[in-house]
Amino acid sequence: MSNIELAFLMMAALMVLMSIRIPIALAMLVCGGVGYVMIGGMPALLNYLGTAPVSKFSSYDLSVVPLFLLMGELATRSGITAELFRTCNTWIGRQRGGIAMAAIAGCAAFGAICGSSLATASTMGKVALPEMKRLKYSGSLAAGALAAGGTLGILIPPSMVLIIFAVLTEQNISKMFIAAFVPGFLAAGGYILAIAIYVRIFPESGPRGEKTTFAQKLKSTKDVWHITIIFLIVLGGIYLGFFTPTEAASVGVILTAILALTHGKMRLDGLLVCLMKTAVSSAMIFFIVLGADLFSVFIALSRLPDVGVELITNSGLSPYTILTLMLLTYLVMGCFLDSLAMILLTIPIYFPIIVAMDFGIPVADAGIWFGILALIVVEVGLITPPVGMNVFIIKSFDDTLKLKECFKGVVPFLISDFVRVALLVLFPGITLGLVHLIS
Amino acid sequence: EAEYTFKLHHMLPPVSNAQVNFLQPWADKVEAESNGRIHIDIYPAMQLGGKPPQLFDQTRKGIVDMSWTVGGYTPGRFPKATAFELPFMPLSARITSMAMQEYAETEMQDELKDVHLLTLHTHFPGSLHSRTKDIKKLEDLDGMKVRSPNKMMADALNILKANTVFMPVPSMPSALSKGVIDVTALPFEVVKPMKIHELAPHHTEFKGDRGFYTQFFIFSMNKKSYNKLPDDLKKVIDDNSGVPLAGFVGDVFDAYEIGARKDAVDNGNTFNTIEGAEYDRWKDTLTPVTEQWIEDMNDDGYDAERLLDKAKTLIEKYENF
Amino acid sequence: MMQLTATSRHLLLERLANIFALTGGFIMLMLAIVTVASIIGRSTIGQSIVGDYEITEMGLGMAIFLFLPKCYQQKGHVVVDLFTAHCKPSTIRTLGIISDLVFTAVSFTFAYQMTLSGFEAKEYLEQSMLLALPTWWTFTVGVICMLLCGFCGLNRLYTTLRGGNHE
Ligand code: NA
Ligand code: NA
Repeated sequence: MSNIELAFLMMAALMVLMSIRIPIALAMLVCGGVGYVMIGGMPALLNYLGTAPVSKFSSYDLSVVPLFLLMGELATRSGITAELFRTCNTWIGRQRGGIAMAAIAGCAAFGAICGSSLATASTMGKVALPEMKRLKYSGSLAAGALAAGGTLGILIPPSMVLIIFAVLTEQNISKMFIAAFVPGFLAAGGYILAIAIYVRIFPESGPRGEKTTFAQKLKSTKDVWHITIIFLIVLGGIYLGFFTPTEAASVGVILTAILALTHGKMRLDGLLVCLMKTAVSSAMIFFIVLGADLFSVFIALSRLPDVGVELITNSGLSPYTILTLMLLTYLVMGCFLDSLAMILLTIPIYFPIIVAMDFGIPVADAGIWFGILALIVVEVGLITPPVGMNVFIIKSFDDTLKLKECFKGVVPFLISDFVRVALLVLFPGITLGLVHLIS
Repeated sequence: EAEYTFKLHHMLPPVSNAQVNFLQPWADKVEAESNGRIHIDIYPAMQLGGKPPQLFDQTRKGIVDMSWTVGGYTPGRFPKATAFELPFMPLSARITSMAMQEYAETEMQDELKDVHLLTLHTHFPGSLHSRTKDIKKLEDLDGMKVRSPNKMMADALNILKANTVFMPVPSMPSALSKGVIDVTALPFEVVKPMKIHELAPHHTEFKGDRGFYTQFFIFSMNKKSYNKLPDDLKKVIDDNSGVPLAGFVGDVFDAYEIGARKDAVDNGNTFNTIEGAEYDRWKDTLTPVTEQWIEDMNDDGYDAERLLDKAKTLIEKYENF
Repeated sequence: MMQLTATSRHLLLERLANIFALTGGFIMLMLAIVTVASIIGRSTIGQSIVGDYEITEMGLGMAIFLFLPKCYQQKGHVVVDLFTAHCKPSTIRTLGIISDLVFTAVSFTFAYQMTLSGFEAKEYLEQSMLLALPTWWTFTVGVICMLLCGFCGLNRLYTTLRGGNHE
């Protein structure tokens, strides 16, 4: 059996193990492990198992995930977010699906201070899911909106994946962030539009709220100034250069904790509950990160990405067809691998091909443009079955949710993603316009 | 189909100077000289898992067949090699690398006994890159937030009253653009790909009998992987390792440095030079780092003066080579 | 008598997992405080906390390990339920036994291999850059937590196989 065949076999085995209720992280560890042994040998795997947990868990960049989770937990438990949603509800609750739209806007705002999709999905999910369920939103719409909204964590700068892309391809990170700006906000707009259309077709999934007077609206608004101030401090701190996006998570936790203790009247037992819930969600996420790492190391060893690219480049197809094929491979890989792994495995091979082809735009522009496109399709992988990290995160917050309804709820947002990618492929100017304007 | 396929693992991107101008040409050369019997697959950017400090161990244990990594990522692991990390030790990458490789062959067998050493080498001496203001004299570093490349330089920067920070290389550009750090010490070879010159436009270079500082890299092969080769193929590897390879890699890094520095010049950046009396002042102020090093090494049972002497003599030897 | 020991064993594991998780949680809080102190320090008196990056990395690593047993006890690991939604309870129970077996085996394997790697890390002086924090500390915490995960797995297997329904 060739290594390529082995890679496909293990992907199939992964599907089988997952469908018989083996936890996803375990299934990836087992399949990645078996594949690794077949290519790299048993001693190599045993050594990997001895060192990988420590090196994967001690990751500075990933520290934002548990910290933001804790922040969300503190805000929820102390009632701060309930106030926030009450305010939202008085303003736009009359609109069908209004709260889901507000949640997307919330994800976009959170994305502006957080560079990780996992952290965005988990924080916003923790905060918004109970509120949406309380307002009788369908599980599908709530989970779909939050899982898709979570991808805004990476799509809107700052963005961890974009930093890695820039390092791998030696691009200017500031230019990449500027380029990501318009597509990021298009994403948020597209998701809101998707909700509007969805609730028109399925009115029961996002019911109308009570009618409120303008006085009530104003009155409710004064409850949310605390959290607004925290948000502005964190955002301002990042953009004025007081701290990095990774450090912002710590600032957010401390400020929210202070607010929860003073304003929300949280006591020690409340804090303990928050820590406990953060522990469970963080362990779930990091265990999958560990499994995904072993699986992606196995895929790298199999050289499947290299062979795939060779097939594509030797096909003699037009640049746009090749680009489309590349983006499609991300969608396929996105079913199994996580976004960072995909970038690490493919960009080294894809990028030189892209900048060598003629798209009718300057080479430097093509690099930036491709980076943004890759970023978007890689993020789509977070919400596609069977391994859709953001969907898992949202599901883990509510035992009554079924994975099937979550993935169903993702469909309208996937459609919105496809439309957006098509637009960005056809009109590079959407991505590059702002870059040219500023520099 | 090759008889022997080896995995070469490293931490930098595939477009990096190291892969494009050193590792890939080296692998191609080995493949050609073995008539295709040896094939080397390069895995960049830690694709095979782990963090950069683990690369050396991955080779030692045979997880990969070869790796290339920064020695300073594993502080405490190669104490004798740190002689080359002392301030005001290095000359060009070519000279320092060849000296260091010979030093390794004669002095460091114990520290490197678990791998088959291909070569040890250094980068071109580093300079300072400042975000806000020109660094023209010692006192200019007072209170600045400086990213240090390794432990040795952190000690040096502390003496200069800088506020030393260590952070991973990929975090550096955003930390610089946000002002989380003001200054970073790097060779231009790293400045160029990370676009540091666009964020930190004030450069400070050192012109004297020695460069400011350097880092060393370890390019090694797993012992079993090497030993399983027949003698004629072992010879191919041997012909492409040791002092000649160190010289080749040094040349690659020196040449790349010139082009990389030009990027900063083309950007219209300011260049300051520490020379003459000011150079001597820096050198004098930083002698405690070397003194401390000698004391620590002696405490650990090494003959520090002899090692330092040897390192200096070897650098002089290859200076006139 | 048997029932009593099973209950006390169960309680002991649960209490341990709780203590571990809370310890990890307090480590996270401490990391946030260190980072904020470092930010305040460098923007006021120009002095950050030396090695704040390293402290965060090591603390986070330990905290995540400490979180793992609780996550398993609470069935926090995500399972795909698409294809087994209409299965009989006995089938689900059998599948549960399989995944508990895998989890237990994986946990003990991790514990064993991490012990070996931990000793190596100690022998080879693996440490952080500025503060020289030894890596084997994290390995020690990791091994203990993986062992607890393994025992929790054994406990669940034992109770399921004996027909009990402790959760
Ligand atoms: Na973001
Ligand atoms: Na997916």
